[in-house]
Amino acid sequence: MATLFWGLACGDGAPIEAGPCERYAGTSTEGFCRARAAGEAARPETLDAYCAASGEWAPLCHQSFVRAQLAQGAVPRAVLIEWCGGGADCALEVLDLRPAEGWSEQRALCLEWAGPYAQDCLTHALGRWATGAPTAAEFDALIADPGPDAALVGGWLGAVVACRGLRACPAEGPTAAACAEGEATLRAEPHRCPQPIRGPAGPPPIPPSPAGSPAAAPAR
Amino acid sequence: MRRAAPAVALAAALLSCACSTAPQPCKDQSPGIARDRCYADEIATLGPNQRAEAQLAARAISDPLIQSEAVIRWIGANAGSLQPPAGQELCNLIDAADRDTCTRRLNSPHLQR
Repeated sequence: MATLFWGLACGDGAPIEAGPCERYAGTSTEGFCRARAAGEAARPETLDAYCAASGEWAPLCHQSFVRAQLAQGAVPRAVLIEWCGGGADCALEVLDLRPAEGWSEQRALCLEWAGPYAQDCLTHALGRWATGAPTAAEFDALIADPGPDAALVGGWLGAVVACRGLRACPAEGPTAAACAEGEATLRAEPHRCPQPIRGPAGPPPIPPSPAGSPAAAPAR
Repeated sequence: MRRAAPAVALAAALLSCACSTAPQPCKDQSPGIARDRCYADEIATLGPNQRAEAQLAARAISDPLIQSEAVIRWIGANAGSLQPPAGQELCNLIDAADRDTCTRRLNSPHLQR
């Protein structure tokens, strides 16, 4: 009775019921229990308050809620990212599973929302492109507008030249050197050509090197 | 002095009992949440080269949520030093609903930096 009264009296007006997590009260497992149940137990309007009660598991709480919504398919990307509550891994997962159509837009989203994982976000996007169905037009568009990390883009262009037989590295420009290096490395070691890998969380973390280029990634 | 002797003796006995009490090993505790939490706390102290011990302790946890939390926490702390197949054995121990969370922490280089 006291627990029910507390639940109704506190918070933002919506009862935060302990329910099946009550048996772990006072331990970190209570927060973990709440976090993993967020997909069913939380609502958008009370999500922040619900997850705040998960303690150290608050980021997982937001991510669990967002994953449940991703499965529904109807929620706009921007809303999903907002529901991540600032969690960078959550935002990265949204951007991996709900990428923008074009490189320029995806690049902008990565830089705006992925926080410390922006480089990973860009690497994942380039990896999906390189191991998918890259077109000559897209190849040329990347050369024309590689963005701030031309070396990263150049490495993946080199992978496409060497591993997919598409186009040729540019002779000059900000991507030229990295493209040539990537092409040379992967022509010499074709077993290191990046492959699409499907994991449980959707498009994979393609194993990056510290520079994020496929040529420096460990062979699989 | 003689009247104080029994009190002194009692105090000494109580003090010696307090000083000699050691935490009960997890395996000697009665099954239940407290024992499971004991194992979870034990797992949290284990390093990446103690994967076998972590796996053994995780198997001894009967509550699925405490087990999942302990394994996910350990994987999160040690994934950068583990070979994915070995870490995946631990992830495979836990509730299916939590396995994706575990696997993501194991296989995501960006979470290991």
